[in-house]
Amino acid sequence: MISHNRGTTRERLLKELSTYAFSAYEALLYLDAYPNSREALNFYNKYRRLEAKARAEYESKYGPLTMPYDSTEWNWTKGPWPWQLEEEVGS
Amino acid sequence: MWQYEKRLQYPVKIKTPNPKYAQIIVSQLGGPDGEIGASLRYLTQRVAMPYPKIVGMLTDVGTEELAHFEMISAILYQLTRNLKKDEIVKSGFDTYFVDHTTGIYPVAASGFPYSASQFQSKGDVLADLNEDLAAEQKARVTYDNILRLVDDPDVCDAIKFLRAREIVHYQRFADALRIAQENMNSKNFYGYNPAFDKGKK
Repeated sequence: MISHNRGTTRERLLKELSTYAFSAYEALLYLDAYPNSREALNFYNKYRRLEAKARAEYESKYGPLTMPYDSTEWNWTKGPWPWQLEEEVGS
Repeated sequence: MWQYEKRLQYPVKIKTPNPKYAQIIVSQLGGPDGEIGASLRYLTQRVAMPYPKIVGMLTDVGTEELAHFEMISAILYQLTRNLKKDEIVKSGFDTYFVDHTTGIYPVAASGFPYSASQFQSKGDVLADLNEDLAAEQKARVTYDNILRLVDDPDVCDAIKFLRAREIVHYQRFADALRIAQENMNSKNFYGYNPAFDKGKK
């Protein structure tokens, strides 16, 4: 599902993060119904960790995805909003 | 409490604008089986739901539906970029355009604005969960119909993701219905409503 050879570096990192986040979320939905599934819990933890790592990398390069902690400068409104294409980003 | 995350659940990147497609796909924003109705259905129903596992599912799926609302918004935004007068008139997008320009407004493809009369929060465990199962199938059919009408692979890629989610949610709600019934009197599921008749057996 992950295509590494299309799009910009930003898009590639965002897709990687989104893939991990989606995998964890899918396990979360399953765990709502099957909280005793050790297999689902391990799957959840694995992808949540990968997501956190990918998130840290993305945010260090392209700014915060959620309300930032301890900002030295205000980057929240910088960069494209999720519906925008990269080429149309203003200031 | 909710926190916004500045990314789409699944990427939307449409190279070629097409107002006709936007006019069809807007139904999944504000139509009878659209994403905003889905989100409101689950986020309202969860409050009266007596079973914690099912409250969790309604919370998580209801939240995901908001992310789908955002994806549909992104599809509509990208399909209606840089439109010229001729394209607006010839495509039939003019009837939407006159009311909303290229702003995003929740409305059915047939023109009816979003209405809460399109879903129920019945305050009854079995009635609500059966509505949820049906809602996921109806939304799946709408995505099937969109895929019957749309040829652009950029658009179809995102629509296929959303269609697959309807099927997963249907399966999760089937678990919810089973969990509810396990908590009820198996000889008479309809004897009382555990969301209201709390003192009774």
